[in-house]
Amino acid sequence: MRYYVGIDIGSISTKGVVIDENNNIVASDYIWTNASPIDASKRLINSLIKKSKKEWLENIYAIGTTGSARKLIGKIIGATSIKNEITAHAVGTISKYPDVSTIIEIGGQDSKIIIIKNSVVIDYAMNTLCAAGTGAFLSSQAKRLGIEVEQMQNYYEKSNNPAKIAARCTVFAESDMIHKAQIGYKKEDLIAGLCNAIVENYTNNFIRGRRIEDKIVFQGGVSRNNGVVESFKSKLNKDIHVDKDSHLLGALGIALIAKSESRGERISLNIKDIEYRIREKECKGCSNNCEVVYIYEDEELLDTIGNRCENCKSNI
Amino acid sequence: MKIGIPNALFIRDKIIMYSKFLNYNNIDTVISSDTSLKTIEDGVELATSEDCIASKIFLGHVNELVNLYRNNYLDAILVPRVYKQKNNIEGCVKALALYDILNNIFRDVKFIDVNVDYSKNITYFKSLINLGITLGINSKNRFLGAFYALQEQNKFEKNRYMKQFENINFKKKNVLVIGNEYIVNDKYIKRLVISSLNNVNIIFACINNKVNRYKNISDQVYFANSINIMNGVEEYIDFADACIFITGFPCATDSLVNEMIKERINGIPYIEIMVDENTSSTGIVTRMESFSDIIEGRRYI
Repeated sequence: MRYYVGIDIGSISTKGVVIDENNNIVASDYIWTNASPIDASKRLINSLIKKSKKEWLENIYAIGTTGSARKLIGKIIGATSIKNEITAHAVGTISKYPDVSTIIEIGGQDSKIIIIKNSVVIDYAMNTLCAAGTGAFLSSQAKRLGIEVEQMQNYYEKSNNPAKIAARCTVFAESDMIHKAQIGYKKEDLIAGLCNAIVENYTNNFIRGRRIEDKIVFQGGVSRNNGVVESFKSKLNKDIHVDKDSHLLGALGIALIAKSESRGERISLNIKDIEYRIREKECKGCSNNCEVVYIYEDEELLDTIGNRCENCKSNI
Repeated sequence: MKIGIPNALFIRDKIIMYSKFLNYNNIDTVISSDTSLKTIEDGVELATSEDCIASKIFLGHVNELVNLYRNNYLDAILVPRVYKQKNNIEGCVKALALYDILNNIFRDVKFIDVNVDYSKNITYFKSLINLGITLGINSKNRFLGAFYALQEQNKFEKNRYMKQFENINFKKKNVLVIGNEYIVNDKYIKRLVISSLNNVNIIFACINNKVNRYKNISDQVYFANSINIMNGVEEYIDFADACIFITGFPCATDSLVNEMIKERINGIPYIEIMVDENTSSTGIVTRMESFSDIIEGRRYI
């Protein structure tokens, strides 16, 4: 039996799966990135190794990375496939829901909609200049209310009179919330208002003019918040599916992409326990002014990311 | 005499006309270099925060020329204004204020303005004649220079138009890139957005000589830039497998066009990429890579 590994390194969390030939997840983990993608990947890979049988590890035929740190981690661990998270999420979801038409994805710093027809992505939209209405927005508001983001859904269920909160901008939402609290709204109503605001923001930004057809799958960290799920259901007046592994679908997607691109050679899953040093610099080597990420392995330049020419290597 | 011309905003498109007119009359021209990160940084420093990215880039270009002026390398900087184009079509109103804004920011610099206003019968030809009067060029040379400059400009536009058509490649997927000329053809922005699109053929359709095809989409279009974009869409959409609309943030005229275009191109993959001075390549790369996947339409399972 052949096995494949998918790693999704996001801004907030890092996810990984090991799948078998039949696309079943045989090992998985979900950890916080803590602003250190290399450390998170080390922890994740070690955890996947611990959770896997020796036979699985000896028969890995491809490794894929996705997420915002896909290129960095992909280079370090020698990934065979490196793909953007939009495609990876779509592939992961299609594998579980072949009849999916709409994917709503709200992650830590971005939110997106992916429209699928006959198992092929035909349209998508992603937040551009602002992260209002994403997971980061929810966590900052939860912090302000003195609760954990995970507890939000308990409060949502208790609310009878959700406060109206504008989610166009995190700062204005905060002003709205303070004002509503001052005029006597209960905590649960404020939280329900926040969940509704996320949905309102999302529909205003992404659904405009798009036909939202069944089946709708909601994923990303925010899909764990039942308040937002319920709010989506009532806003769209449609059923919303949240997979039990919704947080792993990006990792599953990239594992499947890696499987389809596999060259049929065995590959080992490991990340050396050495210090990788990352340095980001705007290269002045030519007028491209690329934002180059230099990766050093024990002080030796291992690779660069983001460069369009080789000038950056002589211009460190 | 040496005159600087900023290679940005609406001036970009008529740069051949202005430089040929001046060169014909033995006036050297210095055109600001392609936009770089430094151009944008300089522009952001000079602009108010609410200015659009295109005007910030413009100020960066002018700043480069101002430095030359202050080092006595230039005698003046040309800043033309276009009030109304043919058929009384108006350009972006922000651009009308640029001459005054520049005079206010760089008080020690000599700027030469020249107006185009078809509602007052000041055509491009007439505006060049007026520019000649300002520069003290005699009437014969003014006339011959303007005639020559317009001829060269027309030649350039015709060539560009033909090249765009020749560029269509039926063996590859054609991606239509639309937007204002000064955004789409700006080297910095072009590189930022387009460089991660692989294995496709790019058609830039920002300028169009046929001025009324936009009416197929809507006959109620107010701004000249919107008309240009819509003409581009109408001209090439039947050859395109996907469409990218690059828009500068914040652009009021583009926000009107976007929705209409979406309806017109219904059916093919479409994406709007909004760029501002804070846009880093990371976010754009993710969007363009996934857009490439959509164009490719590949199934992985």
